[in-house]
Amino acid sequence: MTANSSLVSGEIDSFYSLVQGLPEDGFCSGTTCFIASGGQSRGAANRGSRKIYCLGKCYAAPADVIHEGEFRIGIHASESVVISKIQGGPVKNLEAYLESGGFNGFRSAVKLGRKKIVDYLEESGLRGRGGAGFPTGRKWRSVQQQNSSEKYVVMNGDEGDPGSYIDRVLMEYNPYLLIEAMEIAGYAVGSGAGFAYIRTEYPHSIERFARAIEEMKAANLLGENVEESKFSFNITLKRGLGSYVCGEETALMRSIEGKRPEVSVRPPYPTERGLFGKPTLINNVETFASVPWIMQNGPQRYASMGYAKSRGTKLISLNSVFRTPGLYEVEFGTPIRYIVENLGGGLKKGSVKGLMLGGPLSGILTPEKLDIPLDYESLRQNGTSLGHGGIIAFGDDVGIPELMEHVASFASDESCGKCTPCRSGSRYLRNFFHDMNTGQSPKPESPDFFRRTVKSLRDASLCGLGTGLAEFADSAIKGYPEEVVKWFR
Amino acid sequence: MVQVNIDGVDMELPRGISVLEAARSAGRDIPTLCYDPRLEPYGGCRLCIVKIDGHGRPETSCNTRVSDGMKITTEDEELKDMRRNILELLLDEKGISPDKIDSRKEFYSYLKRYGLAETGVNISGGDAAMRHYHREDNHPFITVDMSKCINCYRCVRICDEVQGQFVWRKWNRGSEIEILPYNAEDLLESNCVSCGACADTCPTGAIEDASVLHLGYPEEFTRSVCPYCGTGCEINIGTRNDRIVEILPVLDSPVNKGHLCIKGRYSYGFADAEDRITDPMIKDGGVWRKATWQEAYGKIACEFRSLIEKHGGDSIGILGSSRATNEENYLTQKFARIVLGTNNVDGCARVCHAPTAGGMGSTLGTGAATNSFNDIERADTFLVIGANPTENHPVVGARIKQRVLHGSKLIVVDPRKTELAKLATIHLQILPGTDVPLINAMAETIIEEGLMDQEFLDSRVDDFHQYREFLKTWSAEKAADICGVTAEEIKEAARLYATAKPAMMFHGLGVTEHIQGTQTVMDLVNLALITGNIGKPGSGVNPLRGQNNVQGSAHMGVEPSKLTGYVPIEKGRALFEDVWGARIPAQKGLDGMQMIDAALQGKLHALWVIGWDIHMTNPDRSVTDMALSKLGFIVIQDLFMNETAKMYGNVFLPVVSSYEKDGTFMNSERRIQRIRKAITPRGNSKADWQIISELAAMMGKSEYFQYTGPEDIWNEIRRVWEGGRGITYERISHAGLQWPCKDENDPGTEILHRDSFTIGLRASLTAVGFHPTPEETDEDYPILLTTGRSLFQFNASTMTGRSGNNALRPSDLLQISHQDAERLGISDGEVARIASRYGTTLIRCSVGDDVKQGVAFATFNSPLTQLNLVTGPNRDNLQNTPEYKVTAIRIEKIGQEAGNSHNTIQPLQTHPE
Repeated sequence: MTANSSLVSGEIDSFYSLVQGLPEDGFCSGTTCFIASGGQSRGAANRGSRKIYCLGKCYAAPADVIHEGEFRIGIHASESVVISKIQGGPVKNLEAYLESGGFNGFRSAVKLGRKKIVDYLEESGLRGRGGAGFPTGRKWRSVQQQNSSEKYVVMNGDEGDPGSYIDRVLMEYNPYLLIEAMEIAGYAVGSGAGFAYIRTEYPHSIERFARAIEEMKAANLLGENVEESKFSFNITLKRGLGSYVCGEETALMRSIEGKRPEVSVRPPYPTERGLFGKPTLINNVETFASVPWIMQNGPQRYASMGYAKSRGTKLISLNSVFRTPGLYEVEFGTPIRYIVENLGGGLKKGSVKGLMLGGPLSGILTPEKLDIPLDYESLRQNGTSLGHGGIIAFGDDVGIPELMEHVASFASDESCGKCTPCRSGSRYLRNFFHDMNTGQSPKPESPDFFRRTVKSLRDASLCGLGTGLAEFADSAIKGYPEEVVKWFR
Repeated sequence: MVQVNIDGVDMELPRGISVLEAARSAGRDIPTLCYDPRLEPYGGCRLCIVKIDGHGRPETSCNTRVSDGMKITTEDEELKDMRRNILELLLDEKGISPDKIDSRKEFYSYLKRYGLAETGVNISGGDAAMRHYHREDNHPFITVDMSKCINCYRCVRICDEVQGQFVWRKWNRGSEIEILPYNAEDLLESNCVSCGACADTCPTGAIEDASVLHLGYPEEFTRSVCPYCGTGCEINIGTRNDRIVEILPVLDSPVNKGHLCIKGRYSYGFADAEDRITDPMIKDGGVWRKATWQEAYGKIACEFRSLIEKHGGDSIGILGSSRATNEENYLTQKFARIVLGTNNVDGCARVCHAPTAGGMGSTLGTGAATNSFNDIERADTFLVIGANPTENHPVVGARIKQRVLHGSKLIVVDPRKTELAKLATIHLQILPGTDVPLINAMAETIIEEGLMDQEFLDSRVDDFHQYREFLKTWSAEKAADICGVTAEEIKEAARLYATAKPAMMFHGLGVTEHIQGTQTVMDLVNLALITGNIGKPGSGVNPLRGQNNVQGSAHMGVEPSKLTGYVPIEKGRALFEDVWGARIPAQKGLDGMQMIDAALQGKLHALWVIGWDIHMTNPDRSVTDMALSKLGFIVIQDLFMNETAKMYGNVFLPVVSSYEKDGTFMNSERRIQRIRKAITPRGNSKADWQIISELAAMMGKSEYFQYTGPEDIWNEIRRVWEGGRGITYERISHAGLQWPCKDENDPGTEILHRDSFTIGLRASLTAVGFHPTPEETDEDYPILLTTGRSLFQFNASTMTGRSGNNALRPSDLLQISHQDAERLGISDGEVARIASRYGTTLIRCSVGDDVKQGVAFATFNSPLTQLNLVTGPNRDNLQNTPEYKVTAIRIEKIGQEAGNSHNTIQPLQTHPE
């Protein structure tokens, strides 16, 4: 008789899409690729029955596994915090990183001491860049204060939101910066063990990150007794296996643990009981990327940039329908219109019908709202959210019912299946839009049931996957009533 | 406490409870589907959402804790509509029609509450209904129809979190999720242990007890206690038309906390087995015939009277029953002592834990578990020695397993790789019969390395210096050679037990059924004393008692030298004679083994055997048979015409099962619990207490046996047993009480020996020298056989063999090593002959690595195997308990043909369905 859950692997594997790795002939079915195909749904890749949602090549959509394409890297801020070292391309090797002043963030942090590191972060106003915008300093403080001999630092490199390739570029172009930041975190909260969780869809990120770990270990900048100090820190690289929901922190930690990556209820929060039940600091890639700069340049300089409660800079990625798609570091407060028209150069064809910020599972921003500033709260007030910072524009060639079917299919395909509204509700929405698009006549009770299901998704689902789908559906119906009117009469 | 407002009502509630618990305690019935109090809050179904002022969106109440000043709305129109929508989504997902769900199920009750039971949902109709869903109807106890599944995952979670079996798994994700048994086509093929927890928790009936589908759902439930092992799980007996159709665990039982094993949950079919005897029978001219009770009593009374006249009362012996209640055992010994005038009364504790009662009694003052099952969750380390709880005390086993899976340390001492051994931090796979050297060496290591609890030794323990001197001869290296493990393993185990505290010890018959059984128990006490692992939460020396009331049977005085309360006769004589108004005989009584000896010598002439089958269970069958055939008169009192009765019985008295009567049982942790009549006695069968009382009357002693019922008997027990005086039927209407419980305000005793031992402030260490068993291997008998039970069967299969369990475990198995199998040319599943110096039998072999080369393990459950043909005559040197655990044997290949014929022997009667 077996009695050990870790022996049970087949069923865990069945959760994921890419246990076998990324198929060479695979192509992307993410939202930007859907849009770049003129609102045509792209099927599942030839190998495997599940779709690949986003290869992070949204600048070159429709994308596939083989081709890389090109994109711009630009800065629209008084100072660059995260991408100054990669404007000209990837950091070649550790030597180059060190030459450009790399690792001084860690050295500055050690000089500051544990308490001040966290003070700095709090004063800087840095907020989590994964989407929730939680104050980073507060999170670090909370882990720091936990009384436990075992703690973990986790880098969430599971950037699953179609439209966003920010973390991908950071991990691929400058993994040294992220490792340095994780070490600062380990030093600050009292952890010697880090996990970097990177999605399979980003093979170059995995490869570059793995190489950087080895280089830094060899140079005594990582591992036992870093720079001959008493501080030791090791990083385990964990490959994601193909699941959007693993971008959610509790699911991600379950995935690292080898368990079914379901979203867990909070509390307990990861800061108290996270990875392997121990206090865990989990931050998004871009959040980590900002830390060394703040350690070196001080919190005031960071906080001097920004707008309202959104301080510093934010990376924005623009999809392929823009004239100049690419990755831009912009100061908070920059009007969305400026990003769309000046940085993106407007659309290649026609005008903007709508913007999807923060991935598909978020509200659509209609063109008349482009003057609002880039700011967590302003976007929230306008029915959308910043999310990762990917901006997907779409033009008139994309129909709303088709876009809705695509997004609901995405949500349904990626739902972990734990909570009822998301599991069954996303399935229902997908079927509803599918019926709409295939010309079937609605059942009389359908519009009412649809609305009630969207409400359950918004108010009763467990994580952002369900609430995001509701936000999207609500905004699409409100923003483009003429396209769905016959179903909602 | 925190101040909380629920639906406009202010209330004070304990900090830390969930909003759901708070609301339910306030009578607000928040609907839930994925919630089960036995499981971690999951927050999956989302039905339990409530509004909390200041929170941006509704919260699931199952995982949200109340906090001071919280203002909660448990239901309003908005929540009601969302709940309705969630239920609709669940119906829609698989196209479930409400009429497929039984009206007793939680899911149906909510469909009804939210107006969906009649209408159902027909919204996306189609794709879901086309899917194929997992179904099973080949398991004897559990049926599966996953088209009714609503993905609450309670089955998966209870299998993981309570039983720890990991059978039900979720495959795929999102709306594609399927719940299937791990690595198997169905439950039968999986490693499912048939605990039925999944079927119990399922809110829709997707996983359901087969019995309710065949016989209908229960109309009534009766709270009682399981009739199998000494764990003493509380059960709810579900009945319909005076028939048991389902047994479910009692949720608020401190013993089993809402869990059961296959035996408690499903193995009740024996009560209505076709071959149950429900009329008294008399054997005339070698043929059994039905008789009236008057006839049967008359015959017995006549025989007993004439024997007493001719040979005295000591020519008769009574073997009482561990299956019977405390009240009945009390009457059994009272009958022996004042009706027959003999102390020849003994119970089946003799063949199991008499050494525990003796060994712990003499060292600590109380021969029973020092701690409680609730200490399992308080222990940091477990030492499990000679016990296989996941099979033989499965609910205790599951609780230990959960702790170990959550990081507690576990030391297992066992010649076999049991399930717990495979999970253990350290498994000491010793040779059978080498416990004493091992324990001595562990003690020596602890003292040598200074790991003992000096403060405890100073304040509570005597004779340390003599003990320490004695141990100097017991190095780990010396023990290692004898035990067949390495010295380092012994030392590691010793260090762990002494340092990762508190450490809790459990022992079973692997310790007691040896020639040094009692001394081994005393040696275990030494180990607990030197480390201070006693008298504290999460510690102690804890026997796992084999049968439901074996603790109670001996404690009630079914013991030749002890009266009720385990009081030596001379110490209790005055009180008992006063209460009884009768004399207790002065002559020493015979124990069960001595009765066999006396019968052989012609000194014992009659035997009354209540509820056991000694022909099947006593060791060294040929000697037992010789003794039984010499007896002139044997009365058998049982549910079935058992093998002893068939061959040697003169009168058969049909009793009721414990489902058919009231009374109390005493479990392994000294807890007295009520059993209650759930079905009417079958045919003319009677409860043991009635039979004993009526026979006493027939023998002219009615004035000593005037009882209105079990409670009346119990109240007499309270008069003679000080430790049970505070336990009234009323006080134990729920959950029972643990003795000592001296008065009606005494909450009972969870942990013994806290500030002083029962024997006094200080206990003494005992030097236990090693006297190896004379049962040695040689060229003719090269393998050491040890024996035990299996999960799916119980003892001689009298009950489980008639309850459908044979479908899960058809025969006994002999576990042998790969090396021995290869040497003998025996393959897995082959039937072989085993021969000892005492006899031979046939048994099916299971080849694996659970035993070492030169060791074999056999279960003794099957009447087809009759393993006691093989086991030998050695006995514990202090308590006479047979050495079932060591027999030198040889294994002979007999060829596959014989194997087939063995296989075609019809098993015992199966379940009526």
